[in-house]
Amino acid sequence: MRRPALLFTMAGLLFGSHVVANAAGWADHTSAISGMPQSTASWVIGPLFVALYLALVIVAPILTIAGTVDTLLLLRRR
Amino acid sequence: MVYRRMKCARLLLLLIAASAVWLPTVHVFFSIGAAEREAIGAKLAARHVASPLPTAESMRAVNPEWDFMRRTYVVLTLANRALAHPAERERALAAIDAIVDATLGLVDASGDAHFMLPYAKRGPFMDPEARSLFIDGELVAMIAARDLVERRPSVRHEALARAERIERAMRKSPSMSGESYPDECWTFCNTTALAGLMMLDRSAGTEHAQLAHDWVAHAKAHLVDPETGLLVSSYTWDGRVRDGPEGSSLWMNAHNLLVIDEAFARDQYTRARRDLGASFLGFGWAREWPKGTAERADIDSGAIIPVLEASAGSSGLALLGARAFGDENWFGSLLASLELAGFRDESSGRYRASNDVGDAVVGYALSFGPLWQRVKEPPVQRAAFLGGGR
Repeated sequence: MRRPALLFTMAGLLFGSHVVANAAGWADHTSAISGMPQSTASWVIGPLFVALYLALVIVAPILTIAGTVDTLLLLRRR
Repeated sequence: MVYRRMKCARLLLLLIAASAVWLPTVHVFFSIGAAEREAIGAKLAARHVASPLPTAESMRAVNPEWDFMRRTYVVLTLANRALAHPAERERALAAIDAIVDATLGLVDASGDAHFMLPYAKRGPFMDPEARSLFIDGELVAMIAARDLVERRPSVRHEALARAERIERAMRKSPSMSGESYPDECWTFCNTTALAGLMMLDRSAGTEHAQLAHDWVAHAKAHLVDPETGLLVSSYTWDGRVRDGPEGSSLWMNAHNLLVIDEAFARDQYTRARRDLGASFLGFGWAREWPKGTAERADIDSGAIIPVLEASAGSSGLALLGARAFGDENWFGSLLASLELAGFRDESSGRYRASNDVGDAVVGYALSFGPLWQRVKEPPVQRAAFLGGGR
């Protein structure tokens, strides 16, 4: 059951990173995309927040689905 | 070794299968229905009403034009809302009046350059009597839009004087176009000015249909890119093309042309949709330039996402195009992308990744309809409106 655990952990890490970034107010720095940065740090934080968010909504569910299917297959084999 | 390879292959298969399930489904979580669209539009409009003239210093520092364009889009949004929701009319009109009065005051006190990029002062206009068509055209549109909801005679002379100036400048120009900047004409500004004149004809009984007809005839012959059939973006006063077709101009052009020459409007939208529009897995976006055009991101295109070539400026205005032409599928896809990457603030409806002019465009796209419908009303209703009815 090591592989499913790894998949779930990676998904959990992406979720946790996004929660932390959101709590830190990084979402406001995405205004850099429209040329209106909150500060010079926005040029880094804004795109980083977008990347983390896209990883959360695209990659994390894929990892979770793969982990779930893998768990079911392993349980069935036992 | 073989066992390890099998494990890797199995993991890969699992990830591919999971992707095949998830990726086509993602857009469902970002699609918004009619009720939510209305709620977002109402929140954005309420924000404009509560604060019609927000501080714009940080936006002006990037581009003073955005401060002006935000005002135009907000006025058009509130006019639409006032027509569609009579309960909002009084407050919407008060906000429109505050914006129009403040804008006229700033133009009177500081000149058109207050809302223009610094190169507005690089030299005289080719037409020495002309003023910026960018400013004149959008001011006519703002005042006429207000009058189409409910007449406000106290500022009509401002629109009439500008309309006269626009017609004189366009007729005198070898390209049938007014200058926005010295020796620089934009189809965006010329079609917006003409749409403003069409609104003025409807609200004040002026007559600019022949001017609009002549401009379209000239544009079809001289301002259309031979490869794509799309209107170019900018050109010199005598008609030499500076920038070819650009999404940040085209979607607005097509929307404006709906009240000028509907057949040409549909032709431009269809071509722009074909050459600039894109969608994948339920998400939509727009390129700034047709494929194969080597251009670099600029202040109009906004940020451009590599590979997809998605332009923030073009995709934002594409919302208006898709809405105006009833392209419901693509409008939904564009909105899904906005929901995915715009980071909407639930309480205010504003998008964190956008700015005030971007939010104003979204608000206008969501409210679009009643104003253009009023401009296009048949002659009988037009006569009733001019006779004093609403």
